[in-house]
Amino acid sequence: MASIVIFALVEIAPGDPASFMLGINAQEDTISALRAELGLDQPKISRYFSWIGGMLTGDFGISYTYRTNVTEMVGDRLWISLPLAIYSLVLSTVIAIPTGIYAAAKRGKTGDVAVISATQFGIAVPNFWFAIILVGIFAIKLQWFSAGGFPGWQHGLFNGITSLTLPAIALALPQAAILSRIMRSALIETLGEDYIRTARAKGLSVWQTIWRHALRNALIPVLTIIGLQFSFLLAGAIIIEQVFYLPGLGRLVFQAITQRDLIVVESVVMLLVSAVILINFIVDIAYMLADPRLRLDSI
Amino acid sequence: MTLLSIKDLSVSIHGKPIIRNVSFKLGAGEILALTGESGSGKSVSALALMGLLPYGSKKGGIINFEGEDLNKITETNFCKLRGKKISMVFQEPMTALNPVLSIGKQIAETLVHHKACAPQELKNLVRKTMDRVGLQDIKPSRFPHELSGGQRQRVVIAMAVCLEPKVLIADEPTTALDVTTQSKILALLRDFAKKDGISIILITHDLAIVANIANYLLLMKDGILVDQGKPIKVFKDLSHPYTQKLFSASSQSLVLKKRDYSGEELLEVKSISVSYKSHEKGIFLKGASFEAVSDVSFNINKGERLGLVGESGCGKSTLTRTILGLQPPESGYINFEGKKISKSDGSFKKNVQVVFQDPYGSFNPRHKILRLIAESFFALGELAPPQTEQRIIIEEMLEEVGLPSESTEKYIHEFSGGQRQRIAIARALVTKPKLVIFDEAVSALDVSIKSQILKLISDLTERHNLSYLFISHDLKVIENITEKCLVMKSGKIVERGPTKQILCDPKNEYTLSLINAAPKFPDFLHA
Amino acid sequence: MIRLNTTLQFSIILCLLPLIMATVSYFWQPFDVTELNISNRLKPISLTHPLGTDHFGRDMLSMIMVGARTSIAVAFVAVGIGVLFGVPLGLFAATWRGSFIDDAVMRFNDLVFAFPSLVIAILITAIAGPSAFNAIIAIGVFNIPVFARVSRGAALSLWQREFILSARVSGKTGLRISIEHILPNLMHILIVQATIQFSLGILAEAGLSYVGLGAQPPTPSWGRMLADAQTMVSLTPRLAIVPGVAIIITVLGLNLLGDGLRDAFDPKLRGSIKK
Repeated sequence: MASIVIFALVEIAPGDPASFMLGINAQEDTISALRAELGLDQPKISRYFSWIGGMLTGDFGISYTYRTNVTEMVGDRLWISLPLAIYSLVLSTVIAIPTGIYAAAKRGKTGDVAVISATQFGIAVPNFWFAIILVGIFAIKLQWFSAGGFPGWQHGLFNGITSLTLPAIALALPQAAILSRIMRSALIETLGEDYIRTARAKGLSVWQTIWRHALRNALIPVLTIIGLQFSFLLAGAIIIEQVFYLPGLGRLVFQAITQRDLIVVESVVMLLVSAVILINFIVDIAYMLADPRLRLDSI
Repeated sequence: MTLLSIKDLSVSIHGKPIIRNVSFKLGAGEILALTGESGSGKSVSALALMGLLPYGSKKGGIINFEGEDLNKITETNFCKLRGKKISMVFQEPMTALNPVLSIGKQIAETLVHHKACAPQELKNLVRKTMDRVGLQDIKPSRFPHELSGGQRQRVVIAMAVCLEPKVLIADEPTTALDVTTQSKILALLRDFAKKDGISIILITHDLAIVANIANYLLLMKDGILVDQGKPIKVFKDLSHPYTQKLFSASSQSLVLKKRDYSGEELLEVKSISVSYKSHEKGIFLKGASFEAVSDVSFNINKGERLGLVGESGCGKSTLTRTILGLQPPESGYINFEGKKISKSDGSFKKNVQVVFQDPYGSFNPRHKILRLIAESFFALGELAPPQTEQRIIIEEMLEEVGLPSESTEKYIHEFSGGQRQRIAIARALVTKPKLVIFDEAVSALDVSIKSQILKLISDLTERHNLSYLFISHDLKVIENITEKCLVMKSGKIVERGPTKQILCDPKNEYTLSLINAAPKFPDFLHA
Repeated sequence: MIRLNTTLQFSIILCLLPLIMATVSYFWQPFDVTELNISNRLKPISLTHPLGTDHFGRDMLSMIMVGARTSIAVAFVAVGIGVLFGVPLGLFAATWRGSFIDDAVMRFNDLVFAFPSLVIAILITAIAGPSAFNAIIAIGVFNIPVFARVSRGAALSLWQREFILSARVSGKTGLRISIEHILPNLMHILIVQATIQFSLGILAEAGLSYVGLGAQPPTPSWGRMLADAQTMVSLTPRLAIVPGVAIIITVLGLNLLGDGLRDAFDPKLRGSIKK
């Protein structure tokens, strides 16, 4: 269903790829020749079906601009975008979960207020601005990291990771802030439940109760958010990739849009949408595993 | 032997004093009832004993337990006591258990936490405890949502008694349960006191329960202890005015004025069956159909006061909605004054009104009282009186139910539970209906308020010559306010007849079990 | 009905800053932002230029003031679109729960949420032509399912309340009940959500302008100011810091406003142990 929408959206777009490719001064018949070659003159329906057919077999078609296999291009970019997304997600989770738990446990006291204030800032900061500042301080002034670009994995794992560090931090900051608040509010909500009171009545201390009872239940909604964040990180890095000149999926899409490279745009968006659907599905399964009430044999 | 000795206990929360100077003693194997209406401070007293007061609380006084002052010990030490020497059972069994852990694990947790036994012993001990509380047929691997309310409460009790504590505090443990389950749980608690010598502090608002099960009674009002003693003596002497008030409210009998029925049939319910289709469809399950009401028939004649007795889940709410025209039946029909009922019939709406159970949820918090009551006129369509006249009618009605006419300009949150029910009654009566359905209208109210509202209903029906259908799970209320009644179970009517006769000499087994389970004052206490 | 707490007061002040700036800019700007004055470039903070000048010699303070207009306008209208279309959708979906309408709205929501919003926003603005107007559409479209979902969820739980049953007894239709009873009780949730979406809108507009797809020159925009500043961040960090701080203050103010409002509307605070 989604594919139809994508296709329609892109097709409606004004701007003929062929004329764009050949430049403003091209002749009329050259344009039509190119269009014929690219298959643009065929009726929309048949093009749609050949696109879908191709996708299912892993063949995304040929990019208009680069004349190379879209699958290859996407594959290359994926090697950057995926690790970046994972890196950011890990950073964000590692910071957010403990701070969220801490804030919930110390609710109303100084520790909590500190965390809330920090997260408020974190959410308000645009990640690309933060990226620019980071580059200014760490790359240019202190020279700890490079200001951009990616040397490629073939130059070693360590080099790869260092060049992804600044972008990952920039991406992770607002996400960590959001996640931390969600963790905090989910935990506070769980702590207000009756079974927590029962656990305390059994003799468990506050921290034991949190660890053994509250956390398991509070993490359930947090899981959904982590899933959402991962989908966002894959696609949302588009601006960060601009800042750091990283040849990732985001930049690919961006360039493809500006160059009216329809096939690439459609394919990448389709890929991202599928990723989102897949992640949601995984989260749903995780829910079912975590919460016995959702399992099949119960009402 | 005195186990627990409380002296001058005071608690204030965020500066506001909740209980003051509460003193009492608890002996071994004794069942102490801590009684009072809502807001009296009984729950707070219990929480103080457990050291589980909310953030922002300040305690005063001495709680002497086994030589230590519980108000002064450290949290770590208190954790060692809780669950082992002093345990607590709370009111809401449906939410008291962690939904993602099996019940066996949760019971075992108490044992493991206090290092009560060797790991290989664990399984046996859990099984033994579960048997002791009456869960012989339940596997420990089950999850809370697979159990009923009564069963969940037993699990909570199992967790509380598995280490054989000296003191068990039970805070309204049966209020959320059905009458039949209630009596079983109370019997279980009494058993623990008798056989295992556990002292029980039972918090309850139901004086009849107290009379039947407690060795000693403490009565609290507004945070202070107003009366105490052995229950029989307290109820006989009635030394404190508040005790008198509560006791008469709990045991009172309304005398219904005799009426004659004009014989004219108002409502005819014939062979009604209503089913629900479940919205939930699992990946493998099909939507299940559930029959809530099954072949129900009855009539209400003009002037009749009919009761409907049933526990939760018997289908009475569904029946109410069907009679009001909100839920179409699968089969059968309902006639009012000879005509088939319909949602859009103005005269039907005018003549049949309803008063709901929940004084807090039945009003839109954003509308003023005038508008809330005037909504009833909406159904009349063109037959409705003009706005100015509506206002006068509403103000008069408010006075009749005992509230000042200026209330029209207020919002619902400015009123107490009892007052809200009065407003609900006003809302039902403004259209001068012929038939009113009271759906558990007094069940959510405190004992003293309950009797006031019942009296109000009785007076109003006399004055306006109303007929009504009074639905309740409380036999005492039904006894007071109806002449005929129906008993409903699992969607079917299992018995019907004159109220007095059914309650004294029931023919149906279920009715009998209901009557036996309901806590009553011992006979010699009646005036 | 609303209590003013400290968060609320503080946040209102924060929010008013950009609002005042934007309004004032219609009447008076210290300097004309369309005038390029190369000889004046990169002047540091001084009395004539409280925030200095940029690399084209334009007064930073004026740029911020006019830029405020863009950001606020875009985010505001985008929220408006979301509310105008999303709330009725959600409301009606809840009223006729389980029906075709409900399903349609849910599917629509799922569909829109599946798409990476940033990519699509870029797609829309790039293809329809970069401008503030298209940015509004692009961001607004994503606000619709948010409001639809929030209103549907809240409305569903309200439908369960007994006073709704009462209204049905008196014969009111679903539509009437939605408007008379449900909507007023949704207001406070919607207002809080609106402040959140507003702040997200500001961030989104900044992001779009940064990549050149928002308001076009000569209209100043905070996001574009950041793009311009990027190359000079080590020499003149002020150029990057100033618009960034402007964004942060506005977004922070809005978020705190949302929090403050949420607390004010619902004073029930639960402690960790229930009474």
